[in-house]
Amino acid sequence: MDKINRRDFLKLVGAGSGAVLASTLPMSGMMNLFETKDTMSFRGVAGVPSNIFPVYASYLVEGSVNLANKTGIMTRTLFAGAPSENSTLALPGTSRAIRVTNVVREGPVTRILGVIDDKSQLLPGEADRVDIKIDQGHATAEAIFFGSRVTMRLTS
Amino acid sequence: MADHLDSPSAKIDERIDITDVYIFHPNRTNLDRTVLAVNVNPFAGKVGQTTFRPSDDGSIYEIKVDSNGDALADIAFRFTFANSGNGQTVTVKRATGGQSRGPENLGTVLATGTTGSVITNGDVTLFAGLRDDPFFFDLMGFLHGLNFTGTDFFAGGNITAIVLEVPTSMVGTGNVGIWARTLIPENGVLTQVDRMGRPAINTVFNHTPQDKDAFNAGQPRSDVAQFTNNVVNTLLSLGNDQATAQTLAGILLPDLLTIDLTKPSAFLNGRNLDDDVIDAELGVIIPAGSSLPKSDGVNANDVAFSTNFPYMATPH
Repeated sequence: MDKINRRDFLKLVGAGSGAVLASTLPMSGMMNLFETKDTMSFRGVAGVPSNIFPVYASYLVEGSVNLANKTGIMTRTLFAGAPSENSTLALPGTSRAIRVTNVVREGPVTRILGVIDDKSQLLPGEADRVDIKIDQGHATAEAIFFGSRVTMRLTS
Repeated sequence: MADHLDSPSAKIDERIDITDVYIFHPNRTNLDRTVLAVNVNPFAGKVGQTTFRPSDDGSIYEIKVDSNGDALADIAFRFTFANSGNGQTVTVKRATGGQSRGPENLGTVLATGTTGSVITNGDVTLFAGLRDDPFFFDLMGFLHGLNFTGTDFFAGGNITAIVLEVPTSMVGTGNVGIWARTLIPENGVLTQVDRMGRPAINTVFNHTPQDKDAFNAGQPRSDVAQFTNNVVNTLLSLGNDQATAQTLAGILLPDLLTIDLTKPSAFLNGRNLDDDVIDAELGVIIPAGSSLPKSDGVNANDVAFSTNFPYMATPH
């Protein structure tokens, strides 16, 4: 894989517009999730590993979903360094485009289901199905990656 | 992630981001000869670059040797690079005593030549260039709750290696400790941005970006005073008792890769390319009876090492 940074990756997977939209919206308190009648854009960050050992890398999951059609695209990348570093160095082979297959609203929680269509990218232990629970009340997003629960902080 | 991408400052230039350090005897038992190596440029060609940082601004790569157990340098091997046409040249110097301690590029030239080829000058052999990354580890398993699958995340990856083979007498006569460091100018001052002795010390025991940078900027001599608490706290979190944690911290710090040069090399006596250092370290830091795994399931590099200099496999 060629050297890639966050901006290039978003362009690559065609998901940049939603993320850019979310990051340029007027701030009202902590803008961590943008939602209109039909669309929801989000951006979640989590450092891993999450306990005992120091954080070595950070998941960045962001996407935009059409709530009416229950479609959209998400991206997931593992960047070197803790979330506070805002590193642009993606660990090789960890960037994924995730196609949204369903969206379920359960009160303050929005559950987004997706699939990684390019199975050739998958590493051992990595599921092709992605299930992210966005909790607007707690400003968190939760998912299982590589068999491990990852709780992301929703962020602008 | 022996030391790959270990701190914010080390990430500013992959060319000076140390990934691993080695000291071993050729074929483990050729005690008359000693190999010193420092690798940089993690995931070279993907994340990192494929060349070394030129030294026209004073940037320098060093391997330091402590010969008397005081965690201060007594010998320094200094490597500098210059762009030349489409390639680079490398020069190695050896300094001793007071000249080995500062950042100045002092010392006697041992060898010089073109990167990417084996350079020989008398009984000194030098190589600097792109190689397969000899480190092997299930990084994704580590990042996800030690759910190891035995998958080598570093398979197929490259680094740029500096490999020096010299008569053992040039390194020492008995017990020595070594570390590598990289220095670049910052605001007109030659500044240490990365250093490493044993694998995975900074990445496993220092928890904040600030501590990781401080560790990389620090000297082994100060490790015990500065970083013992970080090591002890991590060891306690893994289930070790206080006494064991303190004892282990006393072994792990200062961060020197130690070796008795009169004995065959095998981690923790030096470090061979094929030593499974992650399993060795998990075995040390995870207490008996713990449910945590003591192996990542990756027991060898993805490609075979050479028995001939520079020993690291050809790049992918």
